[in-house]
Amino acid sequence: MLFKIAWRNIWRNRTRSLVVISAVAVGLFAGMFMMAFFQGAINQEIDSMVETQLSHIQFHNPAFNDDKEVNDTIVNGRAIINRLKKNPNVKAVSARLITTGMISSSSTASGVEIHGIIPDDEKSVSSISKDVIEGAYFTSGKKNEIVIGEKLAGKLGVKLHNKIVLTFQSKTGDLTAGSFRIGGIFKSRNSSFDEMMVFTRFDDLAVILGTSGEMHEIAVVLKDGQKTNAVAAGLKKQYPLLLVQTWIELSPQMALLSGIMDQMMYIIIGIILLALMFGIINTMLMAVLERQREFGMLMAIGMNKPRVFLMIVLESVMLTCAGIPAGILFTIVTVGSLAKHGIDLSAFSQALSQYGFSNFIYPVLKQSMFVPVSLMTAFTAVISAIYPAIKALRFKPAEAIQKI
Amino acid sequence: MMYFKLAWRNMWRSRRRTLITISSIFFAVIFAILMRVAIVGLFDKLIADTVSLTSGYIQVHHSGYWENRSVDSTFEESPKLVSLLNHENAVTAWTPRLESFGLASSGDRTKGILVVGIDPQKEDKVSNLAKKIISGKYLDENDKGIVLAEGLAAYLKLKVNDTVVLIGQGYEGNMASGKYTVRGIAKIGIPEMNKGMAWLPMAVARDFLSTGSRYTSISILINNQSNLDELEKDIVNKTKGDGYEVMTWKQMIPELDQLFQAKMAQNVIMSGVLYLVIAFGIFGTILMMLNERMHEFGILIAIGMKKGLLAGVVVIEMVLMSVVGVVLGAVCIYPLVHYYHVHPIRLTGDMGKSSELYNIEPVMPMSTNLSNFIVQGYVVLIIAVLLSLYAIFKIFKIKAIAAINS
Amino acid sequence: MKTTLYIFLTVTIGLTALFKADAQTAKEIVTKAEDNVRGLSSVTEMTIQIKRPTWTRTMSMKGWTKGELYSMIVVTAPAKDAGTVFLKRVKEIWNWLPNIERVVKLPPSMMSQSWMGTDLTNDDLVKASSRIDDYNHKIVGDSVIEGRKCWKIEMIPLPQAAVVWSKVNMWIDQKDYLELRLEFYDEDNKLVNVMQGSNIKTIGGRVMPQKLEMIPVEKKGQETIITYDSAVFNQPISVDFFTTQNMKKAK
Repeated sequence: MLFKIAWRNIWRNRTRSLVVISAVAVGLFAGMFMMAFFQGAINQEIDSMVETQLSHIQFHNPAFNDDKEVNDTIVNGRAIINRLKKNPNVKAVSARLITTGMISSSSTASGVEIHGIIPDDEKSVSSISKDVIEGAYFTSGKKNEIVIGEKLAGKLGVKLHNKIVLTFQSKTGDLTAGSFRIGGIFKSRNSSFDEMMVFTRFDDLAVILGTSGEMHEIAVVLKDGQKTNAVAAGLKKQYPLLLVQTWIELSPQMALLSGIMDQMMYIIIGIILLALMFGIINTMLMAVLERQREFGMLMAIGMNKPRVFLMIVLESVMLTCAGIPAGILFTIVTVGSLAKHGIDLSAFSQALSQYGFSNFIYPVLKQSMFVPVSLMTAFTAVISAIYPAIKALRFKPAEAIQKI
Repeated sequence: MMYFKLAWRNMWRSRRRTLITISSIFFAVIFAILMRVAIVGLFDKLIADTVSLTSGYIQVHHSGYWENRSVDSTFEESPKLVSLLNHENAVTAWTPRLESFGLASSGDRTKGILVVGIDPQKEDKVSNLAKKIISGKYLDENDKGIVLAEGLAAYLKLKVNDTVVLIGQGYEGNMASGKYTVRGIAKIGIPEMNKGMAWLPMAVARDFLSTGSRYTSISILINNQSNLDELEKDIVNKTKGDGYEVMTWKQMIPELDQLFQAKMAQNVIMSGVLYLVIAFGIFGTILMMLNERMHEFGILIAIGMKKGLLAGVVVIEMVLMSVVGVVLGAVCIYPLVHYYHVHPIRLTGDMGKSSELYNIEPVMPMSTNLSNFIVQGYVVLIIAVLLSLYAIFKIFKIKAIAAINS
Repeated sequence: MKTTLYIFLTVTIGLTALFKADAQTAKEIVTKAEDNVRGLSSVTEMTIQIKRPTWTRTMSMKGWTKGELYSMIVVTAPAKDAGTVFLKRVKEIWNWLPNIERVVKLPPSMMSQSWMGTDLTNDDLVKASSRIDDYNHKIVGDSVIEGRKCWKIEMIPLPQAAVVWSKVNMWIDQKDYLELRLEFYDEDNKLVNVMQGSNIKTIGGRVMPQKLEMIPVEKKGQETIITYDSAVFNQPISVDFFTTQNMKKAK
């Protein structure tokens, strides 16, 4: 009986019902979009940190990190790589030779960190291959090619195909030098990275270093970055003699900074949900205010207060039930499309593109998000109906009828 | 004037409706402001924490220093610059530094490092270096000792009271060498710094590098990030022709600026969502208000009121209510913002402990910068006024008879 | 600056060639000029002047060399730096600092730094490349420098050589096989550095340019000048002389 009245009421004033339904739908959409966007932003951030150089997990000889001595290589590196490649959590593995030395051009010299990489393996681990803006990423097949940063190229006054000389200590402790041609110039997000890091082929560097097949670093990228800590814990146990570090351990300051900002984002999501709640409350209040006359009439003809209250709540429950699927549908369509094409942030920050930062954020819609956000929105909508409903009951029937 | 009078009367006639409308705008502006001051406040704080340890907000160098970081590009303390810095209101602290690359050596280990000559007291006000000492003690002015970064000390296998040898290139080709007793060891959160930095008292560093009374930079802290560009320009203008180069942290640590720019751009989207939610709340209220008043409007039109006049009155009502809501909201939220500015919200989580090492406090102080209040107030006002234009559209569509019967 | 101190030494102690060779190849000429140094020992006293746009600095030094692998240099003036010693053993550089009584081995990361504020880097002292083996040589002309007839020899580095230049032009005196001028070109064929010897005199029984200038062409007002005050050649010095132990006693 009450249910029927509520149902009729909804259909009687369609504008009002539509407003409430769309308020719920928009609220749901806003909540879902925020979470998806936020997740996308976090993923992008982690990916870019992981991609530039850190990877998810790195292996070193524990002595290596102190002073990057050529001799502190990883024992049995090849075997470890083969085992890692069979690990179901691992997406890609890359071996690196790392040594500090000096790069000289005809005009000047600069201290650099030289990375000997296996181009094909490195491609699936770090973004360096994508950051090449001039020339190519070790595709020519020529010996002794080097890829250096744009900033370093400017400092050394060199161009593509120019020759530079690398000087560093070999395995025997002797100072050795090798000449390389610039095969590619890269530009990453990080200008100090561009100034400090140079890349050569693993084998070319190994010949000069005298390290043959040994390596200094194994970089691992996982299929699911969220599992980094768990996988790292397992690997730490498996290789107790090696230093196994996650990207968080490798770059604690950046991790901390983004951790703090992430927490702030949760606070912001909270603020938006509150704003949403007040929006719905106000709409409901207005709707009830409009219906004062009607409630007065109902009470005058003998409907008691609890039943009127129940009727109002029932109405808002029904409207919410209509609003939530509408919101979910709208979310799936819009966020789904944004997830594919990305959201371009370049319009909001000129500085970003100037830094060569990726301007696109791809929202990530997870199924697990739907339930809590739907519940939250429904809860908000019903709660916001209760206050106006209580308010409505305070009217004296006679007065209420007289109101316009 | 008549429009205004009518609108004013209407507002008073249905006080409850007016209150609801005002409150919807009141809350909208509160949330818009809260979100903004939380973000700006946090970013300002993070920037302050990060730059204090490294570059300061602004650095003054001898012109051309930043390009090659040579000890030859040094300058003598000028009374003019000192008094300028002491009299700028935006400057909260400043400290001179004498920086040079050199070698630190002990036993058979040698490492290239950055040696920084500091005025211990002033330096502590800028970078809180004293707090980072994990063993031994901090320098005092007449000290002849050295403070090493933790990673460097570990590499050189040095403890407090051991001796470290420094060699390098001094001023105008002079040779620089000296041995110093390790007075303290400081743990610095930024790994590169922790592996390769050492601090000497200014007098000792000047002796080491033969620079006389010269130094390489003055690092400046300021009270408010929003004064940054203005202060930079001010210093540049007032020292024109004195051969200085003035740089902000954005030029010196572009990576940090980039991180904040990225976060700020994401924030634009977040703000967009908030505005969408706010707009919907206000729109719902307006829609319901119009719905409620259909009967009234119908009668007014039936008795000959022009639709234009009616629409004008309703829009003026909306604008008045919006202004009241915005002003009230901004005024009422200020005390709360101020409270959280003084007693910042502590962010929890596992970062609490480690953050102290990085000189970053995990707190979110709200910004009390008034421009945030004004800008957000305007934004909400514009949203409200734009939405009230819907009333015009609605009123012109009214059919008197149908409206009266509604 | 990408030239070697070794160049100075080469030029300084270039052997007096006894006969003029007409039919020599460019490589033979360079080898002869370079060979003048090999296996020889020298004790020299010199003054090094560093010129910069805003300042000038003068240092006095005494140096011992044995071939190209071993050398030791002690600073004798200014008084503040006197007693500082640099030792080069094969490819290592050691530094003795009397005021702190320490010997420090220069790490690879310091190789790009200037050597004692001059236009030489530490790396220049130990550079591995060879004037003979790392280049193709060609006589491209004759010219007169310091009143002496010289061969102009064009040297193009071999592809794999650890040399940053695209071309080096060397002028070798036809009488005494002295390297009187060197020009270093980058890959855009732009002149980057010039080294020249002048003031040819007989010092320690040997004909040599007394003055050597190193000029980085791009950097205005910048120059390093070495002047030899005295020299003694071919007195036997044992390899054992060039040890870190001996640095502390060098005078």
